[in-house]
Amino acid sequence: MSSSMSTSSRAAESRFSALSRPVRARWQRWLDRRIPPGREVVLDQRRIFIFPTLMGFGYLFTAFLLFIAGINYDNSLILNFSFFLGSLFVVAILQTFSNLSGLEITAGTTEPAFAGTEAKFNLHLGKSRRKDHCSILLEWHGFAAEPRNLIDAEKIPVQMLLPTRNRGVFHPERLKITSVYPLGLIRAWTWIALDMECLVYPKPVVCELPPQAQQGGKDGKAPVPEGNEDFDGLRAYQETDSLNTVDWKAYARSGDLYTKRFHGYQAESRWLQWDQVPAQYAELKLSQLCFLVLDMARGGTPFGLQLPGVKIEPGSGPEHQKRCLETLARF
Amino acid sequence: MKAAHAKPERDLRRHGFPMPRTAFVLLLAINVLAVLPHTERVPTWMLLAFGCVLLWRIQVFRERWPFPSKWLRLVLVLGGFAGVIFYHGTVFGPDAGVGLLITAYLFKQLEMATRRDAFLVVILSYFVLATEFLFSRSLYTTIYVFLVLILITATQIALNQSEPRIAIARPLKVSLKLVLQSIPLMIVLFYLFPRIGPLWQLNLNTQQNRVGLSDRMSPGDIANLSRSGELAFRAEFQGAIPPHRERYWRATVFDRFDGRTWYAVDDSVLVPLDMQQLEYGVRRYQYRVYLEPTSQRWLMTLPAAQVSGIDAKSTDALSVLAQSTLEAAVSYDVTSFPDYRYQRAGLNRLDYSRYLQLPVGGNEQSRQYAREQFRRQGSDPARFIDSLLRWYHDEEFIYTLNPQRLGRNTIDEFLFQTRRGYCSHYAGAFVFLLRSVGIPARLVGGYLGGEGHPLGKYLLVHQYDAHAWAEVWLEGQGWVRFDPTGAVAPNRIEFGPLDSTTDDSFLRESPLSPERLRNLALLAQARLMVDYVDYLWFKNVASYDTEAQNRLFRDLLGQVTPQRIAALVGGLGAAIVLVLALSILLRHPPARKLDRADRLYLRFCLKLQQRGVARAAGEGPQDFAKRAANTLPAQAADIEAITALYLNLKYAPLQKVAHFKPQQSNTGDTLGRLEKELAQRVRAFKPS
Repeated sequence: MSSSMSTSSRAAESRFSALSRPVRARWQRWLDRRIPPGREVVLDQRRIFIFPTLMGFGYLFTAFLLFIAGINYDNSLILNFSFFLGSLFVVAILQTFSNLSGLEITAGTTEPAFAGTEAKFNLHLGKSRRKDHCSILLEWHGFAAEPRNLIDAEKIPVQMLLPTRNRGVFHPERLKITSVYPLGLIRAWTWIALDMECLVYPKPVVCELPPQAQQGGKDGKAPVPEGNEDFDGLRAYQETDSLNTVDWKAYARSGDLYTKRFHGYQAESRWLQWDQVPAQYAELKLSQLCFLVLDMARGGTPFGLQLPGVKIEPGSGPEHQKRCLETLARF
Repeated sequence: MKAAHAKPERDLRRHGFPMPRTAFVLLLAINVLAVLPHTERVPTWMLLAFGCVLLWRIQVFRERWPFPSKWLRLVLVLGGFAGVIFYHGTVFGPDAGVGLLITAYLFKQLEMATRRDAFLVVILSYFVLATEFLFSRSLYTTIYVFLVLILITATQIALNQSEPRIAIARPLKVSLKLVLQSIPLMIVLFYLFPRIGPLWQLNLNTQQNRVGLSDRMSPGDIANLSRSGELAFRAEFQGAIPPHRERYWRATVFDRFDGRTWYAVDDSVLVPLDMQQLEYGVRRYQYRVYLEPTSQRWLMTLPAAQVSGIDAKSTDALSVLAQSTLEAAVSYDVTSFPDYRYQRAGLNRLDYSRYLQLPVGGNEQSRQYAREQFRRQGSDPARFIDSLLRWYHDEEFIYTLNPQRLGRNTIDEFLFQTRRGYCSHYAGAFVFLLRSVGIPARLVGGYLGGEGHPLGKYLLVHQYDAHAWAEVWLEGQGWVRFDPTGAVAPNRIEFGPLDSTTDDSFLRESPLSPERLRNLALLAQARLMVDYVDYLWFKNVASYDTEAQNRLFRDLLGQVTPQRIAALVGGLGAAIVLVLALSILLRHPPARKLDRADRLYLRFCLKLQQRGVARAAGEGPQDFAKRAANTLPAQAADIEAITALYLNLKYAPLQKVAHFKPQQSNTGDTLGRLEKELAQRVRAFKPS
């Protein structure tokens, strides 16, 4: 799946790069004027483009051939047959347009991703009028979702998995909504800009945890009372204490449960620092820091993050991890 | 990850696509239905091959068999083509062309792997279906074609919808809607889209063996024709319809005789009608003829005829010839002058010798008889003719469709031995006898009679009305018609062929022909009804052509100019598209209809609102009832009763009804009673 996706996104890119830059910019400006971005978009005639498909052209050619045959054989019923095909084509234009118009697209939540993986974009398709919408194709940033139908349901969720490449805030291109229903002769489509973004964390790159810097050390920093580094003494066991900390030797001696007390140092919590990761280039450094953040968070050790100009005080837990990753993403 | 979900369409196209089952079933159905009317265009054994192809494709769909290899496909399709070409002996002409088309069409099934292939099959279906109109233009063919069209459209819908499994009714329903929506525009285009003449000449010779008059007549030929109940033409009259004895529809004249067979006068020797020599007479008939295809150039008319509405020429033989052979039905207007006189002043030398031509020898007994008889009548042609007709009448001549086979001297054998024959025998012998004494005479072929239609003012002329009679040139009178058959079987002239044969040989070949069941009044009426509908169809639709369109434009526009035509077509077309667009885009399905209980409850709420107790948004009926009862204590009982009834109707019975349905058949009544009570209470409810 990932291979097919990357080829298609590459194809999309090459299609775009084929246009020269000023043309592209003008095209984008025109699109922005015509279909301004929003959180909620209802498709109407201003936004929908329509053109025959290859099959549509084949169909028209058939109608034309039958028209010629009708004229030449002086056969009014064959002629009528070609008129029917023409009329059906007109109806197909209207029906295909109608199938897309009135469709309501609502931006939903997004989930951040690591660069190179897929970011989840949630959106909803809904009916703004009461009519059905069939076989709606969504294509976004190279990801094509399975065709959707809105027949019985008033609103359906759609999850789009957009491939990401670079860290940072990810604004996908316009979302392309297509349908050829009912006859496949006409393609109606639109590009809508949904006001949606998501954060892309750096791609984690494996590296060694750099040796603990000595500038902190055991001295000079206040001890943390409930640490687990150095042994302080014993106190009576409380029910909330872990059995790991019970002094089993003392128990054997006295028959009473004591809990060993330790203290930690703040300096003992790790600092992940810009200068200490081995890579030379900034992006690679960020990637390695990303790996380390994940690694540390898995280990449970409190850690801080120090980047040029940014400093996050040590901490632990998912919130802390998220904050660190966001900082890396936005750096 | 479900990889298939994210696969771009491009990949699906390349690697084949999962054909929806509904689409596949519909594709097979349209395959069979589009080919069904064309079965006679291919050899019979090919139908078996088609069956195998479809079977194979079904097995492919069920994933039992693979597609046949490329080479096998090539061999199969080339074999099919060879079979069709061998069968028809040519690749030209509609029959062979359609045969090849349907072969390609059906064998395409064996490589229908992608969406594009399936689409190609759909496109070919349109073609195959449209070609049916080359062979038949009847209303019933058209109805069939449109029914199959609905199926083809449904197939396209089924191919383009995305649910893997849907009921076949859904695409059919959508298709029906689309087809009905396209019909108004189609009708406007059909009648108003400017028709142009053929871009290039096509030789459309169908190889169908047509039943009808031919350009040569041997003894017994017309008798064969008389057994066919096929329609030859219809004639729609304005004003009076001629009586039966005047319905001599002329097709052609036979001038050459070789002792056995009469040959129609050659088109190339016919000169145009000499208007100087034609006296029209007073009476006239005006009518329009709708002629079925004949593969001949003759236009059936009652002489002397002036024909318009078709490219034709009137000839010296008083026949009318179309520009080319008639391979499709045509129609034309005729004015006929039954009391005409032609060539009263005399025949030119060439005509004189042509209409006296006889083979050098043979039939000596007949010649002898004619000479003797002519002398006995004082060499007076009129008296001689009279004596011949009396002879036919008085002697033991029998009018039958089953004459005995005649040998070398056909006239002698017929006149003096067998004495059993049909119109062509009597008329042929009659002309022979006249010519042998030097009186110019000719055999005329055509139809006699026609069946009046009770609804339409038109005559139906069938092949069994085919007839042959004689024309004699008499000095001072010109060409005079004599029908020797009338001397033998007068009923043939007065009533038609059904009652005139003395044995039951009529319509022998079609024992189940409707003609045979003519005595059954109901069937006869049904038959005439069917013909009437078909006639109206042909008159108003199938024969609509450039000329009819010009007439219509004149009626609609007065002065016909290209600008006016463009304005008419453009305006009407645009109006229809606009109405269509508005109805498709602006019409939404109606909101779910409130049921009766809801309506009653809303009325109840409205009444309370007028008293100042409005139901808040989202307030349930029970809460509302409590509040209303507190505000209007006098009506508390009513309010509670109505609310209870409403809730009962809306919610409680639903489960109960569903539950009790098997045992209790009168649940409908219970619901009805509750509803009635609710209605009464709401009506009576008057908050003070």
